[in-house]
Amino acid sequence: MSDTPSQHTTVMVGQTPVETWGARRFEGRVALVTGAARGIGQAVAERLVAEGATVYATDLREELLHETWDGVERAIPLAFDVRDSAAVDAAFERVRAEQGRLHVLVCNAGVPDHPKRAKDFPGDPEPATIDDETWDFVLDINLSGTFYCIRAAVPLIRAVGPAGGAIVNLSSVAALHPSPLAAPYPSSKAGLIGMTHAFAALLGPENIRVNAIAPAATDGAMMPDDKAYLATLTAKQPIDRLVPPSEMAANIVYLCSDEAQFMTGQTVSVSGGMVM
Amino acid sequence: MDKYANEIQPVVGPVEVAGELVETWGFRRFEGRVAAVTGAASGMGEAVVRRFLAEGAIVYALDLSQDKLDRMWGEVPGVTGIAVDVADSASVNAAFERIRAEQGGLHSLVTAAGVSDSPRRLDPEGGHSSADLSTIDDESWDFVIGINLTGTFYCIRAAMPLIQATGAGGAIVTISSVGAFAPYPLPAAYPASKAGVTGMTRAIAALVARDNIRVNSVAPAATRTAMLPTDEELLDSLLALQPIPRAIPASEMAASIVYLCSDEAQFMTGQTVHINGGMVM
Repeated sequence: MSDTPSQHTTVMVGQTPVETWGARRFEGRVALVTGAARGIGQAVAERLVAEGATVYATDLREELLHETWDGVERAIPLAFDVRDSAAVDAAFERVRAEQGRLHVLVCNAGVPDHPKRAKDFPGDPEPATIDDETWDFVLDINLSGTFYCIRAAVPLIRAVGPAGGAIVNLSSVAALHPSPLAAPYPSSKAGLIGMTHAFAALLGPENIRVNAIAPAATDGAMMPDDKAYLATLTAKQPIDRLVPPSEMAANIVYLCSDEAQFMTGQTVSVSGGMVM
Repeated sequence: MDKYANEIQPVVGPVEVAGELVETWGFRRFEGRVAAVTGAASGMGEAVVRRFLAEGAIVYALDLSQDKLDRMWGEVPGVTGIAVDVADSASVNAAFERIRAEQGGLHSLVTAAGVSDSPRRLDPEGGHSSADLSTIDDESWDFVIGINLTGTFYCIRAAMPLIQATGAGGAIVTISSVGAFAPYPLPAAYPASKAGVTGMTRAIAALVARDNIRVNSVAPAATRTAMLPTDEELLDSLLALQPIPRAIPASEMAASIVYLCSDEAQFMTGQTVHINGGMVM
């Protein structure tokens, strides 16, 4: 049988070719993505821009953020620390002043561990080695930071009116699959699922949908450059490969779109089948 | 709130299919790809066929009645109707043998054929039936399991060599139900069959992942099809369990099913995607 390739439509966003398959789901819509300087957040922001959205690309890493987003049409780099609720409020106040409303929020900013312990992936899982500072650091960014962003964004999403909007939180397969990781990361990511349920139940009647995505190890996002180690992770997946951020982004952006307007409170595991 | 509100109006990427506009948002993910859809003469299956056609696929529409298929799809380019009884494995094998002979392979299979209960138990007025165990006779149980669960197995078994023949992998989407996940006193055969579909989806997903074949499931709540209860009181009691208290348009179910068939979801397998307005989280 001849395999006819499907129609690929690549849109350039800055220096990145983004596959959209021709879709334009976000014309005239406003989105904000945290942790957008690199990795999954960057890919989500790129896909949203490619499909017509105006995107606030936010990150703590100001230099990286500008390096990635300066000069990209319909992308607005905005640096803030999700742990600082005053800074979060100020950022969303700027979105309100400039756009009046927000259709899509993707809470992607996150860390695997305290950088003094491990940079790329949760470090030593031995409880005695996890000091208070480490626990607070991971929970503050991954869980409290997401809460601060959602709290600040909800009035702006309500300003859209009856059509509502969508929030996607980045959980992790680590919250669903029993694995002896250092506890702060899976704890924070499981906390996000609880938060997703609560806000979905609260905001559903207003047509504001809140879902979570639980990715497996994603290439270039929080992953050490260690092929042997990565192979041990992907070996747990029936689809045994490392997923690129653009593919994770496609699933996140689907949840943000009107294609999924009856989905809320769900945790979608994009994990090559690691969790079913 | 209008329980039937929020049907997407096709404006961004409208494509006309058999006299109806289908919103594609501009997507063209299935050019030159072959898809088979069971239960394709009504409801969710029909909406899936429309969306596949709108995105460029070659579609085999399978349903019980050739007459119904001919009336719906007879004049529509890109779609072939084949009468099949999914509960009859010989009939299923013959249908997929025809697809093999005509196309050599298959990229996507959607097993949308399903029934809520035996027609002789369904109240013709309200569209519901008694959950009382003593009223569920063997024949009714076998009828529902035979179509929803065994029929899904027969179709996947027959389709698998065709999907393997593409060499590039493919995708299968099965239809489960919120009824398999929400503790609601439905007549037991339906939720049992749909929970069975979830187990089958996981097992086959784990089995065929190495051939790059993905198997996922969707679990809808009340969808605007002929299966939707016409008894307003019953419908309201179901919708009241959803934070988004509206019946789901078949076109939205189709959008999600077709998304799972597409390369956009090529790292998803073994998943059950719950589309239920938040009834089950």
